[in-house]
Amino acid sequence: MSAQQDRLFTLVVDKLGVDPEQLSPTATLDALELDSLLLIELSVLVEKEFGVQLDETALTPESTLGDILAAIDAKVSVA
Amino acid sequence: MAGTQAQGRRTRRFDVAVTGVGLVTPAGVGVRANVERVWSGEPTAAADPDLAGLPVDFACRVPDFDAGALLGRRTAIRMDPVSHFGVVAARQAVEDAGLDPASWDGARVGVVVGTSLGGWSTVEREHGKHLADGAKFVSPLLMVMGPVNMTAGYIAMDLKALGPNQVVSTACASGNTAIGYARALLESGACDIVLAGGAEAAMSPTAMASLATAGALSTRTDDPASASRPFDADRDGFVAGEGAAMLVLERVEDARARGARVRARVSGFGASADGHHASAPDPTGGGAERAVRAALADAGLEPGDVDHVNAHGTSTPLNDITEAGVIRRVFGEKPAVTSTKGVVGHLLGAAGAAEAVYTVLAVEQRLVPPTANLTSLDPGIGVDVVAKDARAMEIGAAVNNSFGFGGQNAVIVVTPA
Repeated sequence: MSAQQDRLFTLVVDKLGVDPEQLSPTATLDALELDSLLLIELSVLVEKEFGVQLDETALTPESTLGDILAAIDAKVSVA
Repeated sequence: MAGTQAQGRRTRRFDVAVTGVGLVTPAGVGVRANVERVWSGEPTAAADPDLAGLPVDFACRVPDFDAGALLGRRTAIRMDPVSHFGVVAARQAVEDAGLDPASWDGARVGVVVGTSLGGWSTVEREHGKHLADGAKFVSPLLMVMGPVNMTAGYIAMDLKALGPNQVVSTACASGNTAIGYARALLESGACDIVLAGGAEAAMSPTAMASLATAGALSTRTDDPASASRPFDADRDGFVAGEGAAMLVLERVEDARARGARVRARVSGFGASADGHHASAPDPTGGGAERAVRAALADAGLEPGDVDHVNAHGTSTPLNDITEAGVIRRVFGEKPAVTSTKGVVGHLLGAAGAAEAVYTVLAVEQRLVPPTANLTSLDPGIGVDVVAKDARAMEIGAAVNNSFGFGGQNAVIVVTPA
Protein backbone atom coordinates (compact mmCIF):
# COMPACT_ATOMS: atom_id res chain seq x y z
CA MET A 1 0.00 0.00 0.00
CA SER A 2 1.46 3.36 -1.02
CA ALA A 3 1.81 6.08 1.57
CA GLN A 4 -0.63 8.15 -0.48
CA GLN A 5 -3.24 5.37 -0.42
CA ASP A 6 -2.73 4.89 3.28
CA ARG A 7 -3.44 8.56 3.90
CA LEU A 8 -6.55 8.56 1.70
CA PHE A 9 -7.94 5.41 3.31
CA THR A 10 -7.31 6.79 6.79
CA LEU A 11 -9.11 9.98 5.78
CA VAL A 12 -12.28 8.28 4.54
CA VAL A 13 -12.42 6.01 7.57
CA ASP A 14 -11.77 8.69 10.18
CA LYS A 15 -13.66 11.59 8.65
CA LEU A 16 -16.41 9.97 6.60
CA GLY A 17 -17.18 6.95 8.73
CA VAL A 18 -16.40 4.41 6.01
CA ASP A 19 -16.12 0.83 7.22
CA PRO A 20 -12.41 -0.14 6.95
CA GLU A 21 -13.40 -3.54 5.55
CA GLN A 22 -14.90 -1.85 2.47
CA LEU A 23 -11.63 -0.15 1.56
CA SER A 24 -10.13 -1.08 -1.77
CA PRO A 25 -8.78 0.87 -4.74
CA THR A 26 -11.63 -0.58 -6.83
CA ALA A 27 -14.39 0.43 -4.39
CA THR A 28 -16.71 3.03 -5.92
CA LEU A 29 -17.83 6.00 -3.88
CA ASP A 30 -21.38 4.76 -4.37
CA ALA A 31 -20.45 1.39 -2.88
CA LEU A 32 -18.98 3.24 0.09
CA GLU A 33 -22.40 4.92 0.44
CA LEU A 34 -21.00 8.42 0.06
CA ASP A 35 -23.96 10.65 -0.82
CA SER A 36 -23.73 14.08 -2.46
CA LEU A 37 -22.89 15.90 0.79
CA LEU A 38 -20.16 13.43 1.65
CA LEU A 39 -18.69 13.63 -1.87
CA ILE A 40 -18.24 17.37 -1.38
CA GLU A 41 -16.87 16.76 2.11
CA LEU A 42 -14.39 14.31 0.56
CA SER A 43 -13.19 16.93 -1.92
CA VAL A 44 -12.69 19.41 0.93
CA LEU A 45 -10.78 16.81 2.93
CA VAL A 46 -8.59 15.80 -0.01
CA GLU A 47 -7.67 19.39 -0.76
CA LYS A 48 -6.79 19.98 2.88
CA GLU A 49 -4.81 16.75 3.22
CA PHE A 50 -3.03 16.65 -0.16
CA GLY A 51 -3.27 20.23 -1.40
CA VAL A 52 -4.96 18.84 -4.49
CA GLN A 53 -8.15 20.26 -5.92
CA LEU A 54 -10.05 17.42 -7.55
CA ASP A 55 -11.92 17.99 -10.79
CA GLU A 56 -15.66 17.54 -10.42
CA THR A 57 -15.42 14.68 -12.89
CA ALA A 58 -13.18 12.79 -10.50
CA LEU A 59 -15.90 12.84 -7.85
CA THR A 60 -18.91 10.96 -9.11
CA PRO A 61 -20.67 8.06 -7.45
CA GLU A 62 -18.99 5.80 -10.04
CA SER A 63 -15.48 7.05 -9.19
CA THR A 64 -13.29 4.63 -7.28
CA LEU A 65 -10.83 5.33 -4.52
CA GLY A 66 -8.19 4.31 -7.08
CA ASP A 67 -9.42 7.02 -9.45
CA ILE A 68 -9.02 9.59 -6.71
CA LEU A 69 -5.55 8.33 -5.88
CA ALA A 70 -4.60 8.59 -9.54
CA ALA A 71 -5.91 12.16 -9.67
CA ILE A 72 -3.95 13.03 -6.54
CA ASP A 73 -0.78 11.41 -7.92
CA ALA A 74 -1.16 13.21 -11.26
CA LYS A 75 -1.51 16.63 -9.65
CA VAL A 76 1.20 16.02 -7.08
CA SER A 77 3.67 14.83 -9.75
CA VAL A 78 2.85 17.81 -12.00
CA ALA A 79 3.49 20.14 -9.09
CA MET B 1 -69.68 32.01 37.17
CA ALA B 2 -68.18 32.88 33.81
CA GLY B 3 -65.70 35.21 35.44
CA THR B 4 -63.79 32.31 36.95
CA GLN B 5 -62.39 31.68 33.47
CA ALA B 6 -60.22 34.72 34.14
CA GLN B 7 -58.15 32.37 36.28
CA GLY B 8 -57.61 30.26 33.18
CA ARG B 9 -58.61 27.14 35.09
CA ARG B 10 -59.72 24.19 33.05
CA THR B 11 -63.09 22.65 33.65
CA ARG B 12 -61.66 19.30 32.61
CA ARG B 13 -57.99 18.48 33.04
CA PHE B 14 -56.04 17.03 30.12
CA ASP B 15 -53.46 14.49 31.28
CA VAL B 16 -50.90 12.82 29.08
CA ALA B 17 -49.26 9.55 30.03
CA VAL B 18 -45.48 9.28 30.24
CA THR B 19 -44.96 5.76 28.95
CA GLY B 20 -41.24 5.88 28.25
CA VAL B 21 -38.18 7.86 29.26
CA GLY B 22 -34.60 8.07 28.00
CA LEU B 23 -31.59 9.77 29.56
CA VAL B 24 -28.11 10.63 28.34
CA THR B 25 -26.64 12.82 31.07
CA PRO B 26 -23.44 13.35 33.03
CA ALA B 27 -24.89 10.79 35.46
CA GLY B 28 -24.69 8.19 32.71
CA VAL B 29 -26.34 6.72 29.65
CA GLY B 30 -29.68 5.16 30.50
CA VAL B 31 -32.26 5.42 33.25
CA ARG B 32 -30.59 2.95 35.59
CA ALA B 33 -27.26 4.79 35.65
CA ASN B 34 -29.10 8.05 36.29
CA VAL B 35 -31.19 6.68 39.13
CA GLU B 36 -28.10 5.27 40.82
CA ARG B 37 -26.12 8.48 40.57
CA VAL B 38 -28.80 11.15 41.00
CA TRP B 39 -30.65 9.47 43.85
CA SER B 40 -27.38 8.91 45.71
CA GLY B 41 -26.53 12.59 45.32
CA GLU B 42 -23.05 12.00 43.96
CA PRO B 43 -21.81 15.01 41.93
CA THR B 44 -20.39 14.57 38.45
CA ALA B 45 -18.51 17.84 37.86
CA ALA B 46 -14.83 17.39 37.08
CA ALA B 47 -11.91 19.08 35.36
CA ASP B 48 -12.42 18.84 31.60
CA PRO B 49 -9.44 18.58 29.21
CA ASP B 50 -11.56 20.18 26.44
CA LEU B 51 -11.81 23.35 28.54
CA ALA B 52 -8.16 23.51 29.64
CA GLY B 53 -6.83 27.05 29.77
CA LEU B 54 -10.25 28.66 30.15
CA PRO B 55 -11.15 30.67 33.26
CA VAL B 56 -13.56 27.87 34.19
CA ASP B 57 -12.04 24.55 33.16
CA PHE B 58 -14.50 22.06 34.61
CA ALA B 59 -17.93 20.81 33.62
CA CYS B 60 -20.35 17.89 33.79
CA ARG B 61 -19.74 15.69 30.75
CA VAL B 62 -21.58 12.60 29.54
CA PRO B 63 -19.34 9.63 30.42
CA ASP B 64 -18.59 6.60 28.25
CA PHE B 65 -20.52 7.74 25.20
CA ASP B 66 -19.33 6.34 21.87
CA ALA B 67 -21.60 7.83 19.21
CA GLY B 68 -20.09 5.74 16.43
CA ALA B 69 -20.71 2.51 18.28
CA LEU B 70 -24.25 3.50 19.30
CA LEU B 71 -25.44 5.00 16.02
CA GLY B 72 -23.07 3.64 13.40
CA ARG B 73 -20.11 5.71 12.31
CA ARG B 74 -21.63 6.71 8.98
CA THR B 75 -24.69 8.10 10.74
CA ALA B 76 -22.74 9.68 13.58
CA ILE B 77 -20.33 11.52 11.32
CA ARG B 78 -22.97 13.92 10.04
CA MET B 79 -24.45 14.83 13.41
CA ASP B 80 -23.31 17.27 16.04
CA PRO B 81 -23.05 15.67 19.51
CA VAL B 82 -26.34 17.40 20.40
CA SER B 83 -28.06 15.09 17.93
CA HIS B 84 -26.06 12.04 19.03
CA PHE B 85 -27.41 12.60 22.53
CA GLY B 86 -30.93 13.34 21.34
CA VAL B 87 -31.25 10.33 19.06
CA VAL B 88 -29.86 7.93 21.67
CA ALA B 89 -32.20 9.31 24.35
CA ALA B 90 -35.15 9.04 21.96
CA ARG B 91 -34.31 5.41 21.16
CA GLN B 92 -34.14 4.63 24.87
CA ALA B 93 -37.50 6.28 25.51
CA VAL B 94 -39.22 4.41 22.68
CA GLU B 95 -37.82 1.10 23.89
CA ASP B 96 -38.82 1.94 27.46
CA ALA B 97 -42.36 2.58 26.22
CA GLY B 98 -42.50 -0.85 24.61
CA LEU B 99 -43.06 0.71 21.19
CA ASP B 100 -41.66 -0.62 17.92
CA PRO B 101 -40.93 1.97 15.21
CA ALA B 102 -40.97 -0.84 12.63
CA SER B 103 -44.68 -1.29 13.17
CA TRP B 104 -46.03 2.05 14.35
CA ASP B 105 -47.94 4.48 12.14
CA GLY B 106 -45.12 6.99 11.88
CA ALA B 107 -47.34 9.74 10.52
CA ARG B 108 -49.05 9.85 13.92
CA VAL B 109 -45.77 10.19 15.85
CA GLY B 110 -44.51 13.71 16.51
CA VAL B 111 -41.17 14.95 17.79
CA VAL B 112 -40.62 18.12 19.82
CA VAL B 113 -37.09 18.77 21.05
CA GLY B 114 -35.89 21.68 23.14
CA THR B 115 -32.38 22.99 22.69
CA SER B 116 -30.70 26.27 23.37
CA LEU B 117 -27.47 26.20 21.36
CA GLY B 118 -28.04 23.26 19.01
CA GLY B 119 -24.92 22.35 17.06
CA TRP B 120 -22.88 25.25 18.40
CA SER B 121 -19.69 23.24 18.82
CA THR B 122 -19.71 22.28 15.11
CA VAL B 123 -20.29 25.91 14.15
CA GLU B 124 -17.39 26.92 16.34
CA ARG B 125 -15.06 24.27 14.88
CA GLU B 126 -15.91 25.14 11.27
CA HIS B 127 -15.59 28.84 11.99
CA GLY B 128 -12.08 28.10 13.22
CA LYS B 129 -11.31 26.30 9.94
CA HIS B 130 -12.75 29.22 7.98
CA LEU B 131 -10.47 31.70 9.73
CA ALA B 132 -7.40 29.48 9.71
CA ASP B 133 -7.62 27.85 6.27
CA GLY B 134 -10.15 29.80 4.22
CA ALA B 135 -13.75 29.51 3.15
CA LYS B 136 -13.25 26.57 0.82
CA PHE B 137 -12.29 24.32 3.71
CA VAL B 138 -15.56 24.83 5.56
CA SER B 139 -17.39 21.51 5.67
CA PRO B 140 -20.61 21.16 3.68
CA LEU B 141 -21.84 19.09 6.63
CA LEU B 142 -21.94 22.21 8.81
CA MET B 143 -25.41 22.99 7.51
CA VAL B 144 -26.77 19.61 8.59
CA MET B 145 -24.94 19.68 11.91
CA GLY B 146 -25.10 23.21 13.23
CA PRO B 147 -28.71 24.37 12.91
CA VAL B 148 -30.88 23.84 15.97
CA ASN B 149 -33.68 22.05 14.08
CA MET B 150 -31.53 19.09 13.13
CA THR B 151 -31.86 17.05 16.32
CA ALA B 152 -35.61 16.67 15.81
CA GLY B 153 -34.98 15.88 12.13
CA TYR B 154 -32.47 13.15 12.94
CA ILE B 155 -34.82 11.59 15.49
CA ALA B 156 -37.47 11.41 12.75
CA MET B 157 -35.02 9.75 10.36
CA ASP B 158 -33.79 7.29 12.96
CA LEU B 159 -37.17 6.22 14.32
CA LYS B 160 -39.46 6.92 11.36
CA ALA B 161 -41.40 9.39 13.47
CA LEU B 162 -43.08 11.19 10.57
CA GLY B 163 -45.62 13.49 12.21
CA PRO B 164 -45.12 17.12 13.23
CA ASN B 165 -41.44 17.65 13.91
CA GLN B 166 -39.88 20.70 15.49
CA VAL B 167 -37.39 22.23 17.82
CA VAL B 168 -38.38 24.78 20.41
CA SER B 169 -35.88 27.10 22.02
CA THR B 170 -36.44 28.95 25.27
CA ALA B 171 -32.88 28.75 26.58
CA CYS B 172 -32.73 26.79 29.81
CA ALA B 173 -36.50 26.28 29.81
CA SER B 174 -36.48 24.58 26.39
CA GLY B 175 -37.01 21.02 27.66
CA ASN B 176 -40.15 21.94 29.60
CA THR B 177 -41.42 24.04 26.71
CA ALA B 178 -41.07 21.02 24.42
CA ILE B 179 -43.15 18.89 26.78
CA GLY B 180 -45.81 21.58 26.91
CA TYR B 181 -46.07 21.73 23.12
CA ALA B 182 -46.03 17.96 22.84
CA ARG B 183 -49.00 17.80 25.18
CA ALA B 184 -50.85 20.30 22.98
CA LEU B 185 -50.21 18.09 19.92
CA LEU B 186 -51.84 15.19 21.76
CA GLU B 187 -54.74 17.26 23.02
CA SER B 188 -55.51 18.61 19.55
CA GLY B 189 -55.40 15.13 18.07
CA ALA B 190 -52.56 16.01 15.68
CA CYS B 191 -50.52 13.11 17.07
CA ASP B 192 -51.11 9.84 18.89
CA ILE B 193 -47.56 9.67 20.25
CA VAL B 194 -45.06 12.48 20.78
CA LEU B 195 -41.38 12.08 21.56
CA ALA B 196 -40.59 15.16 23.60
CA GLY B 197 -37.58 16.38 25.49
CA GLY B 198 -34.39 18.31 25.16
CA ALA B 199 -30.78 18.04 24.04
CA GLU B 200 -27.66 20.14 24.53
CA ALA B 201 -23.97 19.67 23.78
CA ALA B 202 -22.46 23.12 23.78
CA MET B 203 -19.26 22.19 25.58
CA SER B 204 -17.07 24.24 23.28
CA PRO B 205 -14.44 26.72 24.37
CA THR B 206 -16.12 29.88 23.08
CA ALA B 207 -19.57 29.08 24.51
CA MET B 208 -18.04 28.19 27.86
CA ALA B 209 -15.81 31.27 27.82
CA SER B 210 -18.87 33.45 27.30
CA LEU B 211 -20.74 31.83 30.19
CA ALA B 212 -17.66 32.33 32.34
CA THR B 213 -17.17 35.99 31.46
CA ALA B 214 -20.90 36.55 31.99
CA GLY B 215 -20.31 35.49 35.57
CA ALA B 216 -22.84 32.67 35.31
CA LEU B 217 -20.46 29.81 36.09
CA SER B 218 -19.03 28.68 39.40
CA THR B 219 -15.34 29.46 39.57
CA ARG B 220 -14.56 26.76 42.12
CA THR B 221 -11.73 25.41 39.99
CA ASP B 222 -9.90 23.95 42.99
CA ASP B 223 -12.82 21.66 43.84
CA PRO B 224 -15.10 21.09 40.85
CA ALA B 225 -17.09 18.26 42.46
CA SER B 226 -18.50 20.64 45.06
CA ALA B 227 -19.07 23.55 42.67
CA SER B 228 -22.72 22.88 41.83
CA ARG B 229 -24.38 23.45 45.23
CA PRO B 230 -27.93 24.69 44.74
CA PHE B 231 -29.44 26.61 47.66
CA ASP B 232 -26.20 26.37 49.63
CA ALA B 233 -24.88 29.49 51.35
CA ASP B 234 -21.55 29.10 49.51
CA ARG B 235 -22.91 28.70 45.98
CA ASP B 236 -21.23 30.89 43.38
CA GLY B 237 -22.65 29.92 39.99
CA PHE B 238 -23.75 26.99 37.89
CA VAL B 239 -21.72 24.19 36.37
CA ALA B 240 -22.33 23.60 32.67
CA GLY B 241 -23.51 20.17 31.65
CA GLU B 242 -24.52 18.35 28.49
CA GLY B 243 -26.86 15.55 27.48
CA ALA B 244 -30.38 14.78 26.42
CA ALA B 245 -33.60 13.49 27.89
CA MET B 246 -36.64 12.29 25.98
CA LEU B 247 -40.12 11.22 27.04
CA VAL B 248 -42.74 9.24 25.18
CA LEU B 249 -46.08 10.95 25.70
CA GLU B 250 -49.49 9.52 24.79
CA ARG B 251 -53.09 10.22 25.65
CA VAL B 252 -53.90 8.28 28.81
CA GLU B 253 -56.70 6.31 27.17
CA ASP B 254 -54.43 5.30 24.28
CA ALA B 255 -51.71 4.17 26.65
CA ARG B 256 -54.24 2.13 28.62
CA ALA B 257 -55.73 0.65 25.45
CA ARG B 258 -52.39 -0.76 24.36
CA GLY B 259 -51.60 -1.98 27.86
CA ALA B 260 -48.61 0.31 28.31
CA ARG B 261 -47.02 0.92 31.66
CA VAL B 262 -47.67 4.52 32.65
CA ARG B 263 -44.78 5.89 34.70
CA ALA B 264 -46.60 9.14 35.55
CA ARG B 265 -48.70 11.83 33.94
CA VAL B 266 -48.01 15.34 32.73
CA SER B 267 -51.08 17.21 33.97
CA GLY B 268 -50.28 20.88 33.51
CA PHE B 269 -48.07 23.34 31.68
CA GLY B 270 -47.51 27.03 32.25
CA ALA B 271 -45.24 29.52 30.52
CA SER B 272 -44.41 33.18 30.85
CA ALA B 273 -41.83 35.84 30.11
CA ASP B 274 -40.13 38.05 32.68
CA GLY B 275 -39.72 40.90 30.19
CA HIS B 276 -37.04 42.15 32.51
CA HIS B 277 -33.38 41.39 31.67
CA ALA B 278 -31.31 39.37 29.19
CA SER B 279 -29.77 37.04 31.75
CA ALA B 280 -30.82 37.96 35.29
CA PRO B 281 -34.15 36.78 36.66
CA ASP B 282 -36.70 39.41 37.61
CA PRO B 283 -35.77 39.88 41.29
CA THR B 284 -39.44 39.93 42.24
CA GLY B 285 -39.86 36.46 40.68
CA GLY B 286 -43.05 37.73 39.10
CA GLY B 287 -42.59 36.00 35.76
CA ALA B 288 -41.60 32.70 37.29
CA GLU B 289 -44.56 32.87 39.68
CA ARG B 290 -47.00 33.45 36.83
CA ALA B 291 -45.65 30.37 35.03
CA VAL B 292 -46.02 28.24 38.17
CA ARG B 293 -49.55 29.47 38.82
CA ALA B 294 -50.48 28.97 35.16
CA ALA B 295 -49.26 25.37 35.30
CA LEU B 296 -51.27 24.73 38.47
CA ALA B 297 -54.38 26.26 36.93
CA ASP B 298 -53.87 24.18 33.79
CA ALA B 299 -53.74 21.08 35.98
CA GLY B 300 -56.75 22.17 38.01
CA LEU B 301 -54.71 21.96 41.21
CA GLU B 302 -54.30 24.14 44.26
CA PRO B 303 -50.82 24.98 45.58
CA GLY B 304 -51.54 22.80 48.61
CA ASP B 305 -51.87 19.75 46.34
CA VAL B 306 -48.18 19.91 45.43
CA ASP B 307 -45.81 17.77 47.51
CA HIS B 308 -42.58 18.04 45.52
CA VAL B 309 -40.81 20.69 43.46
CA ASN B 310 -37.89 19.90 41.19
CA ALA B 311 -36.47 23.41 41.23
CA HIS B 312 -34.60 25.13 38.45
CA GLY B 313 -32.04 25.51 41.27
CA THR B 314 -29.04 26.47 39.17
CA SER B 315 -26.68 27.23 42.07
CA THR B 316 -26.32 30.86 41.01
CA PRO B 317 -26.76 33.28 43.90
CA LEU B 318 -29.62 35.14 42.21
CA ASN B 319 -31.66 32.28 40.72
CA ASP B 320 -31.85 30.24 43.87
CA ILE B 321 -32.89 33.06 46.19
CA THR B 322 -35.45 34.37 43.70
CA GLU B 323 -36.86 30.92 42.96
CA ALA B 324 -37.09 30.04 46.65
CA GLY B 325 -39.11 33.22 47.15
CA VAL B 326 -41.51 32.14 44.42
CA ILE B 327 -41.85 28.66 45.94
CA ARG B 328 -42.56 30.16 49.39
CA ARG B 329 -45.11 32.59 48.02
CA VAL B 330 -46.98 29.99 45.98
CA PHE B 331 -46.65 26.86 48.09
CA GLY B 332 -45.49 27.90 51.56
CA GLU B 333 -43.08 25.49 53.21
CA LYS B 334 -44.87 22.25 52.42
CA PRO B 335 -43.24 20.83 49.28
CA ALA B 336 -40.03 18.84 49.36
CA VAL B 337 -37.76 20.86 47.07
CA THR B 338 -34.74 19.47 45.26
CA SER B 339 -32.31 20.54 42.58
CA THR B 340 -30.80 17.65 40.66
CA LYS B 341 -28.32 20.12 39.17
CA GLY B 342 -26.13 19.44 42.21
CA VAL B 343 -25.38 16.08 40.59
CA VAL B 344 -25.57 16.65 36.83
CA GLY B 345 -24.96 20.39 36.54
CA HIS B 346 -26.96 22.62 34.27
CA LEU B 347 -27.89 20.91 31.00
CA LEU B 348 -29.11 24.24 29.55
CA GLY B 349 -31.68 23.42 26.85
CA ALA B 350 -31.87 19.80 28.02
CA ALA B 351 -32.18 20.71 31.71
CA GLY B 352 -35.97 20.96 31.80
CA ALA B 353 -36.36 17.62 30.06
CA ALA B 354 -33.84 15.77 32.24
CA GLU B 355 -35.47 17.22 35.33
CA ALA B 356 -38.91 16.30 33.99
CA VAL B 357 -37.71 12.71 33.75
CA TYR B 358 -36.27 12.89 37.28
CA THR B 359 -39.61 14.29 38.46
CA VAL B 360 -41.49 11.46 36.73
CA LEU B 361 -39.18 8.92 38.37
CA ALA B 362 -39.53 10.62 41.78
CA VAL B 363 -43.32 10.46 41.53
CA GLU B 364 -43.22 6.87 40.30
CA GLN B 365 -40.76 5.66 42.95
CA ARG B 366 -42.19 7.91 45.69
CA LEU B 367 -38.62 9.00 46.32
CA VAL B 368 -37.27 12.54 46.02
CA PRO B 369 -33.57 12.71 45.09
CA PRO B 370 -31.31 14.88 47.27
CA THR B 371 -29.66 18.16 46.37
CA ALA B 372 -25.97 17.33 46.14
CA ASN B 373 -23.42 19.50 47.94
CA LEU B 374 -26.05 21.21 50.08
CA THR B 375 -24.19 21.37 53.38
CA SER B 376 -25.24 24.77 54.68
CA LEU B 377 -28.63 26.02 53.53
CA ASP B 378 -28.62 29.71 52.65
CA PRO B 379 -30.69 31.23 55.49
CA GLY B 380 -32.59 33.34 52.96
CA ILE B 381 -34.00 30.29 51.16
CA GLY B 382 -36.70 29.31 53.67
CA VAL B 383 -38.04 26.23 51.90
CA ASP B 384 -37.70 22.53 52.67
CA VAL B 385 -34.77 21.47 50.47
CA VAL B 386 -34.00 17.75 50.44
CA ALA B 387 -30.29 17.29 51.22
CA LYS B 388 -27.88 14.40 51.78
CA ASP B 389 -30.27 11.47 51.30
CA ALA B 390 -33.24 10.75 49.08
CA ARG B 391 -36.56 11.18 50.85
CA ALA B 392 -39.31 8.56 50.65
CA MET B 393 -42.73 10.19 50.54
CA GLU B 394 -46.12 10.11 48.87
CA ILE B 395 -46.27 12.59 46.00
CA GLY B 396 -49.77 13.55 44.91
CA ALA B 397 -48.45 16.16 42.50
CA ALA B 398 -45.04 17.54 41.61
CA VAL B 399 -43.87 20.66 39.82
CA ASN B 400 -40.81 20.97 37.59
CA ASN B 401 -39.53 24.54 37.20
CA SER B 402 -37.34 25.80 34.35
CA PHE B 403 -36.33 29.40 33.80
CA GLY B 404 -34.19 30.59 30.90
CA PHE B 405 -31.97 33.44 29.83
CA GLY B 406 -34.15 35.96 28.08
CA GLY B 407 -36.61 35.64 30.96
CA GLN B 408 -38.41 32.65 29.46
CA ASN B 409 -40.15 30.46 32.01
CA ALA B 410 -41.77 27.04 31.58
CA VAL B 411 -43.26 24.85 34.29
CA ILE B 412 -44.92 21.45 34.15
CA VAL B 413 -47.03 19.55 36.67
CA VAL B 414 -46.46 15.81 37.07
CA THR B 415 -48.96 13.52 38.81
CA PRO B 416 -48.94 9.77 39.57
CA ALA B 417 -50.07 7.22 37.00
